[in-house]
Amino acid sequence: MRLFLLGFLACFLIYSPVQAQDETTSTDLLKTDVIWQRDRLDAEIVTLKQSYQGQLEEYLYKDKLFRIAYDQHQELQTLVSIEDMIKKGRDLGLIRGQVLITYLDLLRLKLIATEGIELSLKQNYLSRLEATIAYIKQHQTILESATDRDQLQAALNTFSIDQKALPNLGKEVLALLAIGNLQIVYDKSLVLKTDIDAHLKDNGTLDLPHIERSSSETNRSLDAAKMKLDLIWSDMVNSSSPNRYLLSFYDDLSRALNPLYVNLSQSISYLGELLSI
Amino acid sequence: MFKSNRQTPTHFSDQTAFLDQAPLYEGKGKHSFSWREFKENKNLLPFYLLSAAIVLIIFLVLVFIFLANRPKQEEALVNRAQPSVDQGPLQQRVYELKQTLRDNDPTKQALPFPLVDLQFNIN
Repeated sequence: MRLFLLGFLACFLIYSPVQAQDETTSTDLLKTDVIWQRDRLDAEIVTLKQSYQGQLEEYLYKDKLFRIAYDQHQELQTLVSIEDMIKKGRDLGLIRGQVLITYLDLLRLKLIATEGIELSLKQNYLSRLEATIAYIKQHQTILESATDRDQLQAALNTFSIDQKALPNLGKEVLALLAIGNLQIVYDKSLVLKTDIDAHLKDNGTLDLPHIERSSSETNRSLDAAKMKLDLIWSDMVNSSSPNRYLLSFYDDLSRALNPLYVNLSQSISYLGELLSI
Repeated sequence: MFKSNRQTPTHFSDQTAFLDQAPLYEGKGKHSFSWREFKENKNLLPFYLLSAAIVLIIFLVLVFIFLANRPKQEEALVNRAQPSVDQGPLQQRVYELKQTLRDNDPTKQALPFPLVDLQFNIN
């Protein structure tokens, strides 16, 4: 029996540090994984931004070419001018689709990378963006296979009708990103405040009256920022149509977010001051 | 009368020159610029002009040197604004947070919807 107990104890002592080590390793791996994913997302966003700029320039050039071909057709009314206009129109439609796909993909990646957004809203907009990208890709295939004037005209008409509200989707996502980014700044400020408090406590200065007063003032400023953020999120989630709410929010973005921005700026300045008192 | 005329320009050998031209030739070489008797020099205008030109050139060179150094000073100011490593990781985090907030200024929109024509047609 004693031998059995000793064996059990030995096994336990050998096995448990290994298990603890495994847990630490797995947590480290998880953190590394998150950082790696984040870096990869950032790199992808940078690459997409570069190609987006190039595509936008190409779009403007092809738009100019199409306008010239269109005017020439209106003036000359010849078979050659019709052919030229159809060719330029198809080229313009294709590059327009490419610009839109890249832009929406950029928004999608930014949405994924922004952690401060309410999850259900994030998921909803990610699905909408992906569905729109898929639609435009399909439209690109139709354009590529369109051989005559009627087919091209029909494809362009359908796109115009189906994607009339596309700019609104972009605006809604941009509004969501703007709020989410300020939420991230708030979250980071809160973590930093906790760390500063710990640092001051280690130094033995946290209980000094003037530092205590400054710390409370900083907390008050951060609380005010939190209240503003909570109000925006609750208004959005509780509104009958979050899409419409975000759209109107975007139209008034700078005025709507400025108080929160100023509040956060003040809180961060207080954090800096708190360290240098 | 004839006698007196023969005596006047003893050093002036050119007999074809008129008499009223004589002082002009005489003055040559005698009145060159002199630093020792500065105020005695008759025509100081070229000297003043030359001096003014030199002062102007020196001034322009100084202005050029000042302007060339100016960006460096601004750079130094910017560098001074950034916290150094000595200020500690917490101060560094405060600085980074300020930068993040500035990057997300709601008055600046970095990625607006592209200005593409969604309604264009070949009709």
